Amino acid sequence: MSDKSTSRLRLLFGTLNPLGMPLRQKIGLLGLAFLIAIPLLVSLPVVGQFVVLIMPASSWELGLYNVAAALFFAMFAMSWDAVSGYTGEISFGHGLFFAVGGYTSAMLNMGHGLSPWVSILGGVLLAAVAGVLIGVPALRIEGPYLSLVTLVAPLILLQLFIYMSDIFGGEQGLGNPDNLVGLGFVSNYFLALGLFLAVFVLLWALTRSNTGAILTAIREDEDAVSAAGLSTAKFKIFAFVLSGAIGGLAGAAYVHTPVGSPTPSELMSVIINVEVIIAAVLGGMGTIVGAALGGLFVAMVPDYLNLIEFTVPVIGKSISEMSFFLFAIVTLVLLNIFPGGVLRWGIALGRRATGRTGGEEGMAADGGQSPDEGGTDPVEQTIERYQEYYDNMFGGDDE
Amino acid sequence: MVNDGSSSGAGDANGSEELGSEYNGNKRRIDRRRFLQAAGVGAAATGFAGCLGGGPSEQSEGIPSEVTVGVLAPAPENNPIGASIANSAELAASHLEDNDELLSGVDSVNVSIKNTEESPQTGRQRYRELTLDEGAHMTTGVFTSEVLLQLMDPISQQQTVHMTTGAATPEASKQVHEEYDKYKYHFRTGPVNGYHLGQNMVDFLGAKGSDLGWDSVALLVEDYEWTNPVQRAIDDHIGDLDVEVAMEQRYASGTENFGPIYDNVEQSGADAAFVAMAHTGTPAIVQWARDQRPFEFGGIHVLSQLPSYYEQTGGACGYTITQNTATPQSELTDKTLDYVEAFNDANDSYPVYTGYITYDAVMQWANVVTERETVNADEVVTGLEESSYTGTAGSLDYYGPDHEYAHDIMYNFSPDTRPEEGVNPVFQQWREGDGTGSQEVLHPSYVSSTDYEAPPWV
Repeated sequence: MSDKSTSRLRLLFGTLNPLGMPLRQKIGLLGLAFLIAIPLLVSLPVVGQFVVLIMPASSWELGLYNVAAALFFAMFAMSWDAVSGYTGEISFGHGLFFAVGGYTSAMLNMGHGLSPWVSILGGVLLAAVAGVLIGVPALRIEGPYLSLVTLVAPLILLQLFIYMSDIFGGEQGLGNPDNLVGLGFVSNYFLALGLFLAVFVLLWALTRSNTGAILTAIREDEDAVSAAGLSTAKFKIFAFVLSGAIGGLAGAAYVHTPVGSPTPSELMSVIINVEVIIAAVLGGMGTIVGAALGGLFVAMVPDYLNLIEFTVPVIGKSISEMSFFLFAIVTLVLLNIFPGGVLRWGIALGRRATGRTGGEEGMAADGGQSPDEGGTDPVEQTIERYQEYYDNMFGGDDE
Repeated sequence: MVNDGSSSGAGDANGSEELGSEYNGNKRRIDRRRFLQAAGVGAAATGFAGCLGGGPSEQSEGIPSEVTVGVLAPAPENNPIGASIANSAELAASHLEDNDELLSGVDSVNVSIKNTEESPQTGRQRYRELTLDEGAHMTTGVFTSEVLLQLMDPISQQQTVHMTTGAATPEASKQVHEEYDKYKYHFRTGPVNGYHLGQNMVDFLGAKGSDLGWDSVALLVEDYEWTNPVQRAIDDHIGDLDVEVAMEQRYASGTENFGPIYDNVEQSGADAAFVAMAHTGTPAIVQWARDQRPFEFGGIHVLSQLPSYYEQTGGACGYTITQNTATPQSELTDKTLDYVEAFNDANDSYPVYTGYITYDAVMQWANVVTERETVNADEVVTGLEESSYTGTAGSLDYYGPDHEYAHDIMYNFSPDTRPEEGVNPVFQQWREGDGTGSQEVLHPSYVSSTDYEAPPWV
């Protein structure tokens, strides 16, 4: 083995050594270990009781289903963040990819008898093609206009599903395709967790690479990226295709588990398109980690609220009846308190607590832009971009 | 009153969940309620509080002292269809508790009501809460077909008898027929499935068309999923009648302006609009009455089935005909009016069709459990297949596994005599008397309360 490859290996092992990692990554690893160990921990008497109590359900089997569903939603949120969080082109219709992946896979499985493993691949491919179809307009139109295009695309698809209900099942959906790993709650939990980790590692590595830096640069100043001789078109299309493929993977795998099914209300309702944005912005837009955490939060909090039977005195309604309303209020408050996302706030808090000063070159160590040193955060940058479009539209430059 | 879903009460037989059986064969389990009790005593005790034997599949033998009925209803707090499901299940439970013959060894019949929000995802979640957390011995309800279809797999997984009391999609029974061992736990107590709903419209027109004077009809069907099998049945059978179909229109979902559609009906010269409407029903009926269109109106109009619909539409639904499971005026069996009055006493309102069916489902299940002396799902499935139970809506018999509509309630059209088997939906007309509306029955003749009367402007 050459010295070069030995030193590379050392570098790799050094990077992967948990003891050498920053605190936030240690916390992340602990969280990950906890997610992996939940089914094992439950069989331990005292620890198991604790685990059951913190599950978003009143039994651990149901809790595992709920967490599995949340993991799929977190994958979906990460795929949104990969394109919108990094390039700043806000997609209001990301459910399109989720639906294309889910429906394609279900139809290949139910209509053509393909195994779910193969049909999921078909779903991913077609979702990637959908990424191209949305990505190409993104080359010509930007900002709010592109957001409108992404908003309209799933609405057109929904109408197509209803219009051709003999093929797509209309509002009723397609029924139940084969399950990837049967109906068991533990096996499906690990399926969801495994996919979540794979998507997370892929997107984390990619967004921390040069490609991620270029995508971030496109968000900040597209002209500067072009001036540097880089093709913004190529990278924008790449971001949409990647995001589409991963959103499609999440949707395709989701319909082959007991927690999901190919129906319009599950895969492409307007509310899902909104929730995914809330998840990524709340967690920390343009960080992947934040989108993952936000996705888990947004998917699980209503389940927790549903468990509370306490009746609010004046209104006479129980907390569980108002779960979505309360969830929306909590989200609104959190978004106001942590405009850069909970993750950035947590990292800044941790640094203050440990007396450290922050990451390098204005980048938060998770790869996102540091709110303290790198100028504005992705949310602010995106808002600035939108402001610029509006100013141009209404002659703001003349003032 | 509808409860908030908090009332549950899985008995010892199945109130706990199997732990780790799939994961490592570990048969210990955790009972969260036990744990919460134990937590108050001390931390040391909690460690052992959940380590109890058994599992959900071990509810197999005998009848436990507490029985739990799980109910899935759309917005049971304020939707009349959901409220009828929920309130009728509770009424059945209280009648079972008072009954010395049915479930005689049972101390309490708990009813746990969950809101499906008409969403497949929510429905599936609530179904799992009922079966996994609360150990329901049977489940019932479910109004929307898309929710029911997404419950078929969880039902087969939990192997708990489910008796549908609202959703009409024949897809569910097709699944039972094609994969019997997997899906046999599903029964549809009512209404008759979507195909039979359409067939029943044609059967009614065949039997009563001449009395109505409808020699030609304009078929108006709203473009929603539920009308697909209805439309198929009408297309299959209406050609057998001596009735002309002057026009046929499947109009867009969400239609609010019926002016152009009614202009076409007028131009076609049809005697009546023969309809299948649910979502678009109110603007359709109000505009027909307001504009005094020169044709009559009837078929399946789901909203007209609501006993309070006359007041809700300011009398606009007067003279329209709709198919219904039963009405507060129709003594379909000797149980119908007793149930209606008991429901009215308890809730100060009359039930919608889902109420009759849900009451029947719970009572029929209790009959079979009593006969078989067990809540074991496989035994109950066999019992229900062999059961012929007289409920409030008629004779409850199910098609067998070999039938294309396996485990659906048997449909039996009979204009003049009570069918010995199966249910025979009624057709009602909204009529006015003393300033209020009443649902007078036209068909079948053995419960009819009036003859058809055309609107005065036609």
